[in-house]
Amino acid sequence: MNKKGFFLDTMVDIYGWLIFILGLIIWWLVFYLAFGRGSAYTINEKQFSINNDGLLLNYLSTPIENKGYSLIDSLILAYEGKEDKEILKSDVNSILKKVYYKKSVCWNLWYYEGEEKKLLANEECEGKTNLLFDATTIIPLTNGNSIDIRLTIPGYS
Amino acid sequence: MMKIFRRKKTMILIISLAILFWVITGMLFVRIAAKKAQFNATLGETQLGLIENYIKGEKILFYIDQAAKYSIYAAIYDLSLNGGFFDYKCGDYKGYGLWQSEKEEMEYCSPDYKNSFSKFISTRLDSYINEGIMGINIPTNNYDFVFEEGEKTKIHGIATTPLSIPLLCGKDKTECGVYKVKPSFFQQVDYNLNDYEMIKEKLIKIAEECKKEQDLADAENLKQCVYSKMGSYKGLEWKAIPKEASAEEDRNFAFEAVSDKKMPFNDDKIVYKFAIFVPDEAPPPPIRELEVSKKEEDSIILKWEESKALDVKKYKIYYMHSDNEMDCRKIGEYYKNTPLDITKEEVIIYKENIIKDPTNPNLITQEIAVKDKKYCFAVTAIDKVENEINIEDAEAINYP
Repeated sequence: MNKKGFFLDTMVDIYGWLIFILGLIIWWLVFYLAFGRGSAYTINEKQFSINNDGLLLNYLSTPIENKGYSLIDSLILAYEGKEDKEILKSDVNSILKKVYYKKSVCWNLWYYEGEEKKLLANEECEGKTNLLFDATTIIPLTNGNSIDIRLTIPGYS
Repeated sequence: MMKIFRRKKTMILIISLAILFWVITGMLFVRIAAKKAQFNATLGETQLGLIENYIKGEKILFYIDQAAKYSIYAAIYDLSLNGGFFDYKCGDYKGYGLWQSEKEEMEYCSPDYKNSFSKFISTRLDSYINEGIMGINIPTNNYDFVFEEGEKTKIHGIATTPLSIPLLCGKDKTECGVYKVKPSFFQQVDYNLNDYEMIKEKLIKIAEECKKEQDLADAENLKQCVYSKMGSYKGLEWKAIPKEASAEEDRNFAFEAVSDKKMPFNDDKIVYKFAIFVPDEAPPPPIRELEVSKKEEDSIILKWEESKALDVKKYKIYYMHSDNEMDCRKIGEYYKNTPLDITKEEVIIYKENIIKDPTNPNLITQEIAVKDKKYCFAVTAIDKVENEINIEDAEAINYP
């Protein structure tokens, strides 16, 4: 045969087709090995929790009833010694009571000076506790500095 | 079979096809392996990382919002203590920014208080954020400010550059994205920027009503005029800063205007501190009790009491002579419309060149050459800004 094109004569045709088919078989094997051979996948379970820091920001931004300022202002005044800490305690309680459907909760409001954690105000717990809330954030002070604060709610009082 | 390999072209074709095939297969292997490697994160981990980044962003925005509030309160005090200036445009008087100076008027010197307020807020806010927050770099000098004036001033701080919070993915916590948010803010303060307009109004009034007054050696008319304007004015309590007596006239005055308002977290009232130069449109008072005495046949001595004005620069002697009698009370008229038979002359004597009467240091003497004619003499004092009384108001005497 003198045809131009794919293969050139009968023998070449046979061998050419042989190689071609062999190639296809190998190709199929590759894919089969890679995907189809009963691959097993393991589903792992992992737990993540979204922290309450965003919620803490909401609490800090909440205006205190009949006072014309928000909780963060009360916190700053107490921290800087311009207001009695009892007022801060009362302001925090007024907000948390609304959050926890008029149930009283015990809480601790901490601030950090470097690595040292100090208590700014708290409502003490009685009996067993079950941590309801734990969040931190950073707040600026009126003198240009800043502090980290942390609010924890160990449980109902 | 041998025929195949004897045909060179065929051989080349087959070998080429085979090589091409294995290359493609190899590339496929590599690509499959690479795709598998990407899926080693737990499903949802990246998405939860995005939520955490969002919360981090919210914490930073909250911090900036609070910092902006405190910065604004502090900037209100900074601005008032600086008299509305960030940089003094026309200098200062005893540390009080001048709203009008000797050389420049109030339209030029008075502060652009809104621009100054923006700069003070920006400076204070940068001190909160220049070291970053929670490990994130916060752009400084990042705000354009818009003010809405009224009883309560509304301040929009519009951020020009957003915050960039990197999103970390996978076990290696490599950066796989960036969460960007613009840290703009809005604050409303119980403060009226319009106080600066009231200050300007009051200063214009003081300058206008006291510009024709001057301090004399024995009468502090200018000071009295300015001090009489002090007191309550549109919600501000004005007081002038006391000045010591001086040999030269000082037309600069410093003031403090105290507001009843205090900003939260601050025990001090807002005090505005500023100064003004009261323009000088007051000519030295008329020279009285002019004396003339003969010295020689062709000269006379003119004597007058030194002016009590503190800013006298020179004296001007007006004199006229004629062959005919003259009514010296009409010296002003003669100066404006000089009759043909009258000749008018002037002599100017600078303060540093005056000659004092040796018997009385309060008297100034000046020798004038005269002819055998009738003379009228009058003397005026001129201050350093060329204020002079009208010649009609000067006291004239005749000679002989």
